[in-house]
Amino acid sequence: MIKIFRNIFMKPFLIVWFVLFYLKELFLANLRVAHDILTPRHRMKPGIIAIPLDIKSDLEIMALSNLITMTPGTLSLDVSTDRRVLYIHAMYIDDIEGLRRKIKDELEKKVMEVFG
Amino acid sequence: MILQELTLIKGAVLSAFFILIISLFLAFSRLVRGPVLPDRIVALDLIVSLAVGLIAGYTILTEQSIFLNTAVVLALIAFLGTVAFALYLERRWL
Amino acid sequence: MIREWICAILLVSGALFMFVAALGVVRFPDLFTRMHTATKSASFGSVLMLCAVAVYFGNAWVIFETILVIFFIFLTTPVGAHMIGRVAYLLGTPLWEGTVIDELQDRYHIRKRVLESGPHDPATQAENKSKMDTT
Repeated sequence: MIKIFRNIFMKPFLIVWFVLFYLKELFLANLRVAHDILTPRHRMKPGIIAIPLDIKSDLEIMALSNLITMTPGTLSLDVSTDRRVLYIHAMYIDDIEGLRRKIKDELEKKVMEVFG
Repeated sequence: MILQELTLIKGAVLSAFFILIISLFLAFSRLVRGPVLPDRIVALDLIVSLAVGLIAGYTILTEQSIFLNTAVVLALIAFLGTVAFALYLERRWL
Repeated sequence: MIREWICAILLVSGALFMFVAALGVVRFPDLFTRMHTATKSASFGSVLMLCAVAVYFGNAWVIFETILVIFFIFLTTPVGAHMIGRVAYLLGTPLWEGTVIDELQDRYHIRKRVLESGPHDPATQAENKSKMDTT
């Protein structure tokens, strides 16, 4: 009962909030990339890292990988065949575990809230 | 005819055209020089995005909103071209 | 008047973002970093310019069509980037020498068409953790 209530009344707000969050992330990503392009020295530390996934369905994985491609300095490359790990290329790797946790906590949780 | 009275919007469109044409040259240099084929695909994709921007400017300059349909078609064809190139590379070499 | 100013600012800033994208594609050292700028900045620039069109005309059909194009761009750009990046890695495109870490190395089995999940699989991680707890 509570779940049905939540689905009907909360979903539109969650989706609108998700879209606003997406636009904010997109804008910040562009400012950071633009800053790195326009300054003469390359300050980046690129690399490919693996992110363990808790979400299972195709739609959620697609949403997460699209979101990752559009946010600061990360680009999703491939999903493993058993769909448990997402490989991404990141541009500013200072601390690998921190980046992994940040993506899991911020993006994956939001995707779960909206689509789950 | 377009340039007879230079309003704010027309000036903005023309300066945007100027910036976009410089970027077209830059993207074209990557298309010619790119060391591997995926580089060229990325440059081609960028050129189509620039063309969508040019169409948007042209729509405002001529005040004919029907040109926006061209942008829709061009975005669609760019996506199909990218996917087709990627699949071609995968089938050809793997 | 204010609408014209908003429209002009959107147009010029969109063009500037596209210029940044083109400059990045020329300047950055390897394919993957180039793809970063070509996907993010270029799609954002074209979205800003399309927003300028919507603000300029301001009638319902144009706004609807613009939203359609923007939605389409946001849906397709990441998919295209994902496909190019994947195939470029499979073809062995060299990474920049400043690359810090490559966890995708030796994970592809091309003949079997399998990408294994390696040590970051949640299942194996949970197993390792339970082993650690018992010992």
